[in-house]
Amino acid sequence: MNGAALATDAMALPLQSELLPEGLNISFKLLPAILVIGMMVTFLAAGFLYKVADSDDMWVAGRSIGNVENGMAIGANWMSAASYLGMAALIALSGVYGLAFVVGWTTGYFILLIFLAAQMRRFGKYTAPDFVGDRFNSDTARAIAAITTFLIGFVYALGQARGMGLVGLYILGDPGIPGLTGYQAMMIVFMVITVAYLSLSGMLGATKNMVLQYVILIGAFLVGLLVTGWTAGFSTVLPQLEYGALIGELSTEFSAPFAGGSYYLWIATCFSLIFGTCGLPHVLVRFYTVENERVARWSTVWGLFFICLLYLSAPAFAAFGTSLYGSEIGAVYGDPGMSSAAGDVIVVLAAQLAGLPSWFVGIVAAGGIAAAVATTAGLFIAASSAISHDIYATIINEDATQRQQVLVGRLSIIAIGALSIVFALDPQQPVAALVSFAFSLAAIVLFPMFFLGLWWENTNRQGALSGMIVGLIVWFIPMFNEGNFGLINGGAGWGIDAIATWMPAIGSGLIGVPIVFAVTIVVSLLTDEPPEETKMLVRQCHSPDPMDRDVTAAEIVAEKKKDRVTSDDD
Amino acid sequence: MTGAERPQSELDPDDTNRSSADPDPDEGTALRTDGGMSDAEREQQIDYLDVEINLLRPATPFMRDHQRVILTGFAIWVLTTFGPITATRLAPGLMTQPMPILQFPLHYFLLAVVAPSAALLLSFWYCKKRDQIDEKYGIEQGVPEAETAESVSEDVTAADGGVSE
Amino acid sequence: MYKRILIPTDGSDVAEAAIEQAVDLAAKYDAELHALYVVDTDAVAYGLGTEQVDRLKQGKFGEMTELREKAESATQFVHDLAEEHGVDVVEHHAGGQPHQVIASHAEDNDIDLIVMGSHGRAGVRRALLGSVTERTLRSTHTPVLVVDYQDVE
Repeated sequence: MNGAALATDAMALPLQSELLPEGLNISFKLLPAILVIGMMVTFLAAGFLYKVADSDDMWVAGRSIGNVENGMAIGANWMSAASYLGMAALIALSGVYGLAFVVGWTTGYFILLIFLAAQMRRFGKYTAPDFVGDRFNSDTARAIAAITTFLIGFVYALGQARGMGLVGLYILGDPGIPGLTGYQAMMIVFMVITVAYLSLSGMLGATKNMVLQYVILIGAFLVGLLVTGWTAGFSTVLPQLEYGALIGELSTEFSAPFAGGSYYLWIATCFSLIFGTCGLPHVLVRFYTVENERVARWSTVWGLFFICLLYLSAPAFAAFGTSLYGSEIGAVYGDPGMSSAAGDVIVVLAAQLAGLPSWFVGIVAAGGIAAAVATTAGLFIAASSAISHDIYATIINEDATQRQQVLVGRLSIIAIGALSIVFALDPQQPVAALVSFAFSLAAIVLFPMFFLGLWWENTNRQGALSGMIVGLIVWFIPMFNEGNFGLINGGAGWGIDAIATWMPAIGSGLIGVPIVFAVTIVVSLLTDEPPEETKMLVRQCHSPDPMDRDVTAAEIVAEKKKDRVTSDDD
Repeated sequence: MTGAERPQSELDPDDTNRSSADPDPDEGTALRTDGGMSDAEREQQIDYLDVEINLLRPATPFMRDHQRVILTGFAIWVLTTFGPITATRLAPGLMTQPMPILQFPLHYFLLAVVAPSAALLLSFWYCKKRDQIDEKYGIEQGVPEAETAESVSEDVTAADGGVSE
Repeated sequence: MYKRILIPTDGSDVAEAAIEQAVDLAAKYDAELHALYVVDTDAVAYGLGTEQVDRLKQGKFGEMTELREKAESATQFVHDLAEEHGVDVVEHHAGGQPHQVIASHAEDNDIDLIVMGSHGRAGVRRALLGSVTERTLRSTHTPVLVVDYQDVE
């Protein structure tokens, strides 16, 4: 089975808009609905209590974010529909292949830590396009990075939207709107709620929300797991270790090494996810808000810890779900087997099938939706900032007033919201796959720029531009080949087997990243070296001299240069 | 003289008599031996704006120490991340044996539990190591770098406008 | 009659049109001039992301060079002009929703008169971009002098 097979699973049923998780209790449930609203309000309330007051507050270094808090924020960042729902889905449906997601989405943080975190912080720019624009002295590079950020946000959001739609069916049921399937209606409802949520949360500031968010979401997940395992008799106190014994009783496809995906596919996917982690704009941005580099480093460790709490638990949930599905609904594997729709809600389904009361299952479901909404809100803001700050205010209209920036920002959000809704009407791929496409994009286009930009001072503008453009092309090839976005051949894509096997969209990073590295390096070698000042910027990012809180690498370089000039007598 | 004009070869790490505060060779002064300064002392004299950053050729004591940690960590990480699945590919019969007590198939356990945990432990290890390095070189976060008692106060260094403050 | 005059500025031409009038008034009444630059947290949120709003709240404005420089140059402009006329200036930078911040600043500092510029927009543009001036008018009891910005052809 190769990457194309995942796609064919979805393509076999024409117009997968008939997404209907079999076995899921689809009806309106009041308490879970209230829970979802309650969670959203809680996330907002925490931020609301800390509204910006006046001048003195802004200048006085008040409370700053500690390691644990920032770690939780990093963890919350990672709690999306993909981790909460999609991962367990793929572990259940594709067995060991699904574990590539567990490994890929955790181990990437170590790479981020050792190669990028501290250096990025020293460089000191606000956003990824800012970094690219300043490091490579190019507005074009900045624009490309901004567009890539927008694209990443959009593709990532597609996965979230699908999660919202499917779990929404459990909470609100099928409203029976003519012309829209239950899934589609739910997806639209929650996407609209997301945009409303983000208008409010955007201005209230992030971190306090994120901590609360993390606590609530991990709580819902872990308690859900614990109780499901207990009730169904699978586990007692530590389901994360106790599910091992259950594996032997499940169909072999659950644990047989390459039943769900070849070795190559596993490696390709894992690789893409790891380096995608290191290229995601909204991940890196977390490091700019910390005190100093030591806090940046230790926060990452804490962040990974909090992420692992979830990631070590998801396979357990998948195991329970698979077992329960097998005994209550039907065979999990084979034909027809569990549908991708049911797989995507396996976490909720497991709790439901274990016979737990609907208010409890509702907690788990609410957690899934809250995770999706919060993540999507964050993505949309990242996308809007790319357009309003990086493209509009920096390139198109340098004298833009704050009001104009707000307007452009709001329009961008409406644009990305509408795009996401339209394309999520017929998503064609499971949640985790959709999100992986975004990771592949980040890995191929942005990660090489970050890494080479910070570690090789001779990376120059031409190299960066060539690299990014080649990267974008490389990313689009498998996407069109497999018919994602439904644009080509009505969703069937070009269907070239060789590409589908060796460069699957879900793991295109394995081929894409080296290609972009090669192009960038070769072009940089063949063209002029970057200006001395730029090289100094890079060097400053590696200096161990602790940087004062209010300086960027660029400022230090300028200052040192001035010092040298004045101390020269000749 | 500015550091920017100094040819890159001056920073060749193989030069055993290297001191980063070399005066401009055009002035005709001989290369100064560093008289056995400690790493930390040598580090004090380096201005990073003159140091070529190259992942594979660390040019200062600090970078050398740091990159050793980075590359070691990276090597271990490659093993713990891609090792289990590769081992499973190469020896599926052996790898799918159930483990004692926990009853996990071995490969499953390595993939689902060990790989993420290893990354976490490596991250912890890396931070500890960095803190050690920081201590060695007297780097204190959040406090402007003060001149330590170890910094060499020879008059020679004052002639070079590139001494780090 | 006017002891303290508040001139909110965002560094734009529109604001500058009002600054001249404010300085003139302050000179005539021998009043203290308060120059206020408000960092619009909405703009920061949409333009830079919520993490930056967070930074503002933590009092790290000093680190945020671009924002800070805009604020400083805006109030500096007022300062310079006022100096020429022998007027005392107090410079403030604050963050939040502009109309609210201006209104509360006026109240907290016993401001007698607020002088603001306005685009004089109408129709769709006004609906889309809004008017801080108009909202401020409705948020405060302090007298407000609105100076329309005449576009120089």
